[in-house]
Amino acid sequence: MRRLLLEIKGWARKSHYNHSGSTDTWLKRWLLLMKSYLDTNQTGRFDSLVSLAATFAVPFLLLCSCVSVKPSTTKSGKKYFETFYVENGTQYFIKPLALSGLGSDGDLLMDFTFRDGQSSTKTAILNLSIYRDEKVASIDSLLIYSESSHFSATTPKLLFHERSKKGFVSRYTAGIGSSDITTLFEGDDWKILIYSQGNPLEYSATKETKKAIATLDEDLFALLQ
Amino acid sequence: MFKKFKTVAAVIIAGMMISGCALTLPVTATSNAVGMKVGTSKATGYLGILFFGQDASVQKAAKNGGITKISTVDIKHTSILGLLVTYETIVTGD
Repeated sequence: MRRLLLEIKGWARKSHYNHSGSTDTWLKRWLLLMKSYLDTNQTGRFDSLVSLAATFAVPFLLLCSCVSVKPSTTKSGKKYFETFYVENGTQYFIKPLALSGLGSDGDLLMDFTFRDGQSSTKTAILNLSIYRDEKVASIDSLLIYSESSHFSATTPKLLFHERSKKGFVSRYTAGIGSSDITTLFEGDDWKILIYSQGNPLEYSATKETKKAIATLDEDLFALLQ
Repeated sequence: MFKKFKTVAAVIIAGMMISGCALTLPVTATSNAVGMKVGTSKATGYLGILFFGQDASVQKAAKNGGITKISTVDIKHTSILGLLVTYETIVTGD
């Protein structure tokens, strides 16, 4: 180790004496930097080298740990949606958006799946999970509205009921016009009105969801138009 | 000398813990056509080990998406400070 250190220092010295502004390279700069580290502590050369290694190793590891290879089905690194390549187009999945209910209406999560390009279908899939004290036995109608627009989905079909920590989860699936989604994301103040066996359940977008809607409008829907 | 090594090791481990990144990896793909449905299931672990019996299985993701014919399965792993670890299973199909 000592021999290696001496050799490195020798290279550094040599590069220092041969230094000229026009022929300076990154290797010379690095050697000079290393020499300065070694010179600052003559009695503890190894300690200096360890400190130097730590100085460079930590940022290097931090950088390396953030580099990832994504599979072809999920090229997008966006936080709120996933992209899938399908024949003659692209399929998008907007991750669950949270809405909070009024009173005892509980909470609601909703996600969207739709396609763009030649393979686009006229209907996007809207899945929703309703978290309540009681099961939502059936849904008669579903209306989504914001300041500027309102849309009604096709009659939601029940996927399943499940017990949750605080009651039940009722999972439903419905359809909404593909073209309506773009318009819907132009406004972030969403409200969902569900009629279940004649009773209205109302939900409104949380602060985090409003932020997600605005981001999706900018990062996704602006590109699709 | 050993103390110095311990310090450096601690710094490197801390550096690795500080990084908060996401990695998506394919798990499987079947011969079924990529369907119009997507389902996800997610489990979040605290301190990297406490998951409290959450379910991020393929079955749960397929159930959430109303999927009966699975096409592809991906897993997304996210880590924040090494303390908040999330596994998300993404299933596509019909």
